[in-house]
Amino acid sequence: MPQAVPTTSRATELFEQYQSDLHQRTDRLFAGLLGFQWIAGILFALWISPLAWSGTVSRTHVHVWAAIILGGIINLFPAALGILRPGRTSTRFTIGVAQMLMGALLIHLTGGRIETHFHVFGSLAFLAFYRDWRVLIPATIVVALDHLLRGLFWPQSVYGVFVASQWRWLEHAAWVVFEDVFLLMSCVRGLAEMRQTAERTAALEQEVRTRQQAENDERALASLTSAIGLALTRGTELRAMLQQCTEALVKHLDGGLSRIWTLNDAERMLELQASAGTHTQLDGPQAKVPVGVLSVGMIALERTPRLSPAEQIDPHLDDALWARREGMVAFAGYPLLVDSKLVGVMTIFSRREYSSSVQATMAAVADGVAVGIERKRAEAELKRRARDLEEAHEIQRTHALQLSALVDQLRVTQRHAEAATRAKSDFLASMSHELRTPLNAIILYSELLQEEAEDSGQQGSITDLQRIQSAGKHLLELINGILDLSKIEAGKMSLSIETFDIRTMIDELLDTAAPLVQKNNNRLNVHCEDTLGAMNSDLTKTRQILLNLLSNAGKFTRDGVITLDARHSTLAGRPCVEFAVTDTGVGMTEAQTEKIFEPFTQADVTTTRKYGGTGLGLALVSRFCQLLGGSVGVQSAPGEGARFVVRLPTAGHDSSVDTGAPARVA
Amino acid sequence: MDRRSPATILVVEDHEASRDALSRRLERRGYRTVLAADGHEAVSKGRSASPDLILMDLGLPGIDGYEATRQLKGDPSTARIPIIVLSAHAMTNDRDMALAAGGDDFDTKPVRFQQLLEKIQTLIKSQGSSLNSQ
Repeated sequence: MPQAVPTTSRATELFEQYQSDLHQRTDRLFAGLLGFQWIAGILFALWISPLAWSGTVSRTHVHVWAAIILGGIINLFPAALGILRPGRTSTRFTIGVAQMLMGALLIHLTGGRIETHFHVFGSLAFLAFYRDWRVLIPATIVVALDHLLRGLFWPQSVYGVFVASQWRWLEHAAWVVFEDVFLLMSCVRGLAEMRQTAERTAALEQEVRTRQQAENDERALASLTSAIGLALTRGTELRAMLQQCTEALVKHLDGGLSRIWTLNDAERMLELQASAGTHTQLDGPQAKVPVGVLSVGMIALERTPRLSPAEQIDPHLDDALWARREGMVAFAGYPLLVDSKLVGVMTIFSRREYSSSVQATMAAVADGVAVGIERKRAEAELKRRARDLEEAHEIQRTHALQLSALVDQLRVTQRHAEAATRAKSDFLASMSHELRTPLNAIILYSELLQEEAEDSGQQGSITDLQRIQSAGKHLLELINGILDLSKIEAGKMSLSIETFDIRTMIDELLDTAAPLVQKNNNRLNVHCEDTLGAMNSDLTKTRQILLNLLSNAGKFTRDGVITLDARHSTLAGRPCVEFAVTDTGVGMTEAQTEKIFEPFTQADVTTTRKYGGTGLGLALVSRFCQLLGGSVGVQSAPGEGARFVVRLPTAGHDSSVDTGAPARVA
Repeated sequence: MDRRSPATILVVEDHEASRDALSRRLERRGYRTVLAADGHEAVSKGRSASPDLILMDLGLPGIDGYEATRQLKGDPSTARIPIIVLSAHAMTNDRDMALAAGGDDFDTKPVRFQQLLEKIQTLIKSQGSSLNSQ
């Protein structure tokens, strides 16, 4: 049931309307009645005493004139009021008085007949139609006064007798008052019922209105929810999405102005993103509101919704003035929270009060909008990240392209270098061929001439011829050495890997090496481990390495001892055989040992002339050791001899060191 | 073959001085020499002179030593003559190619004469014994 309190004003309004209707209706009723009374009064007069006789002369009785004139005055004026001014209090009172005066006239016209007095009672009953007991007061007074005065001065007119008791008016008045009491009670009860009816009607109206309002609200809320849902799920930008939300709030909730701010976390600042209704611009004075300032800022700070009359929002601004002018009634502001994290504020000024269901819906909308903002931000963040990633990829791609270009360039450079090396190698190969051919003739001739000189006993020229032969052989060694080095450089030095017994290899080697070592009156010592066994490597190059080292030692040692040691060891974790050639010769400085394995870098340029040799022997040793996956090192000091240590893997020669298939050089 | 007569060696060499020096040294050791200065001559002299051994240089005008060796070894009338291929190139695959072409042995130039003589004697001896055994 609706509350009585809010219906009172409407009930009073209805009650007054009922009363007014009743008064007007009754006024019109009396207008007719008064007119009828006038006619009836005239007819009474004509019927009872139409003529006044004075002898045979008759004339119209004075009563007839009284009925016409007095009755007219009494009846027609209030009747006119009843028609022209119905509902007025004065009309009512006038009619009440007129009705009593007409009663008095009728009593007089009927010669004070007691039956005619009932007109008074009837009139009072009719006046009670007004449900206004005050009307009875002047009427009753008029009756009482009439009876008192006429009873005193003209009893015949009122009681139909010439003499009457001076208290008879009291009896009549008492009867009238007696009736008045009941009529008064009737009036009061009637009014009470009328009031009750008014209240019931008002309550009914209120209920109907409430129900209609609820239905309207429900429809509006359904539309709002769907509009918000659509706005939140559409793939638009953040601002467009929020603008659609504010527009939906204004449209479906009778909103006058709806706005949404988002929180800029870094600056603790609310930034206006959407505004719909009376204001749509986003660059006004509230475009940026710090948290804690104004109602919007307070909602953000306190993180609680605010519902209040529109006029109480920021009254120190012009907002209150604006609210009054625009007819704004209510204000609702909601913090936009996602998992208790503030992302913004949503506000609505409205032209009507919001029901609890509307408030609940707005709270739900606020939640939805908050999630929407968070999602849009996450999407923007994702997009930004994706763009960064794309840029990073782009950079990476560019780098890869640059790298690829660089590699291409490098490949070209390498090809050029290889071509150059090949060209050099080809040149050297063909040079060596061109050098060997005449050298072949020189050596053959020098040997031929030696033989012939020996036959003919020309001892003198033999020495010269031997020198020619020796120089030729030296030249040949040089050519061979250069050719070997260039083959290694060109990657054309091929290996011939086989398994051979180390001890046997050393014994065979010594046949060739011994004369070279011992030529400067040196002694050769060989120390081999008993369990040397076999190794898997290139036999020729291994021999070449040891031969070059021994020959080298023999060259730089005079009247000394040269020792060859062979034993097992390890090299980079793999089994190897270690050959050490130690001499007691001239030795070298540290600077000399550093470049001893470079071609043509014997201790100094005069060394070759002094000690002989090609200057290529140790360079070849170093290159061969590399080819075989091994290493060579030297320890020496001036005057203290030198110790060369070679380590070669005994097994599983790394084929990657192999320099590739041999190619024919024309 | 007449075993009492000195063995004949065909010296194929385009370098005149080398040809001269080598042939004179061989003659000092009692061999008869026949000379050829290019590949075509080598093939025709190989057929006409019926040498006991051929010393074949590789780098020759006309047809080279490989081709000459192949032709001589492909001809039944000369196929039995042992050929020692000589090369001024020192690349190891020269040996393989020479042997593949049909050469019986290989040596490098400049010639180590004593070593070459040993090879010649060995090949002529085995050639003679193989003939006897036939």
